[in-house]
Amino acid sequence: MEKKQLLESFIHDNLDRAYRLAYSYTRESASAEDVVSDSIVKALSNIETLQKLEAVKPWFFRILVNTALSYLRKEKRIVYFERPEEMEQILPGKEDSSDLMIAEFLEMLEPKYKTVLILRFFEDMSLKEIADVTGESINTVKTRLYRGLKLLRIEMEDTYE
Amino acid sequence: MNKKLDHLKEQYEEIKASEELRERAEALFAKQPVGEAKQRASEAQPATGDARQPMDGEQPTAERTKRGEAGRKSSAGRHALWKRWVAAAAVAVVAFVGGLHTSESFAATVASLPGMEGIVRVLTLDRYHFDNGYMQADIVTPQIEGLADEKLQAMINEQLRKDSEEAIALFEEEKQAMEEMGLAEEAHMGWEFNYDIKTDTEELLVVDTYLYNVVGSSSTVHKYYNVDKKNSKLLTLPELMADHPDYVTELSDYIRKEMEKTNESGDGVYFLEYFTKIGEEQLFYVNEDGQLVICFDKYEVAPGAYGSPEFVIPADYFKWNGEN
Repeated sequence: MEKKQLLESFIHDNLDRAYRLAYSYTRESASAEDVVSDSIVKALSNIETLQKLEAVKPWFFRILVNTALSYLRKEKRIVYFERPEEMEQILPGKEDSSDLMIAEFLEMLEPKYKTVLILRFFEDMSLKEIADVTGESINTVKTRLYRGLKLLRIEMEDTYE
Repeated sequence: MNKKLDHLKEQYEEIKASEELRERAEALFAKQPVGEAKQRASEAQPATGDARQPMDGEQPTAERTKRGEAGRKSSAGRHALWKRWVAAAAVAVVAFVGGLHTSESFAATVASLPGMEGIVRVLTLDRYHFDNGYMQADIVTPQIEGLADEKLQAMINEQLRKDSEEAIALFEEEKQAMEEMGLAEEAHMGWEFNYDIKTDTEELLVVDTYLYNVVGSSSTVHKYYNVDKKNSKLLTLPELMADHPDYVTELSDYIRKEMEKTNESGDGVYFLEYFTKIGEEQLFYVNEDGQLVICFDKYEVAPGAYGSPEFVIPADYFKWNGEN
């Protein structure tokens, strides 16, 4: 299939996913929509960099994540919590985080942790695919997953793979 | 998986894209015909004549080719979406300029204009230039000098300088983002911030600054400074229209009729269903004959191939006499 058509059908089928991911960073719908639009424009003008047709998801998500991060850099207003103790202050009593809400989840985590957690657990992407999105090594992705879960105080019974 | 994460995932999946975003996304695909995704700026000149030459004789950084028919076959929905998208893009790219060496060719251009014996003139204070073969930027900083009211002059110059700096910052940010994504060699970005002298008479100086940028598709955002030299002030539309309390309706009706006429004659595809009336911040300038010209940015009321449309208001409705 022609690359552009492939992208179009991918966007058609995965617009919700793209929007969710963008929203995870911007946490505001108008900006999230702009990030998605912007990413589509970038993807279209760089469609030739899509090497393998089956890699469209990590390829597009990479553009999307970078666009969202670049948006956040412009904003620079968002503060994240690095240590569990800090989060404790805003989430008193939520020791096991069982009633953690998605809004809190998105608010408290730094983008680098958020990205890997969302892609791994919500989007069911493999570590390799996540590494393709973030442009980092699989080991880095793993480390971030552990660290992210720790920040969330979530004990994992399961393995990552 | 873990039940806490399951719980989060359920909530996460409740986040859904709006219909608007869906339409907007579809429009982005519809807008770029297959094979043209990488085509550069295609800003054809509008019928009203928006021809602008680079002031210093250099080629514009972004290639400008005419692509007359592209993008003309659009549904009503798409028009509105373009506008939405472009509005978003415009927010992202609003920019302007400033520098301290006078561009000689610019000075020559100005000198050739009628009324240039006047004292007030525009100089190119600074020029930011970048070109690595993939990404180009040419951003100048115009400054006005010789205005009797120094406060007003300082205010305009400050705005020009800020707009220019912002254009540079945004370009650099975009460039960095492309590099980080490993797309530097594929980016095909072109940014130009420059100005035109629209009018230069004894009474009036009109500077049109525009930010033209290509990142995939192109957009142009204008800002007009209508400087009343005698009264040392910037003209505003409401002030000019002091004798026409219903000017918004009257001008809008006139423009809509002109659009209809053009569309019926087969020469145009204005977005009639989108244009309702001129806005509070409507772009305008006064030309050398004292006539009011209502302007629109690219995509605002017509497909991109039309460039930035202008509508000259008949002199029997309004003519500037230097008094308003």
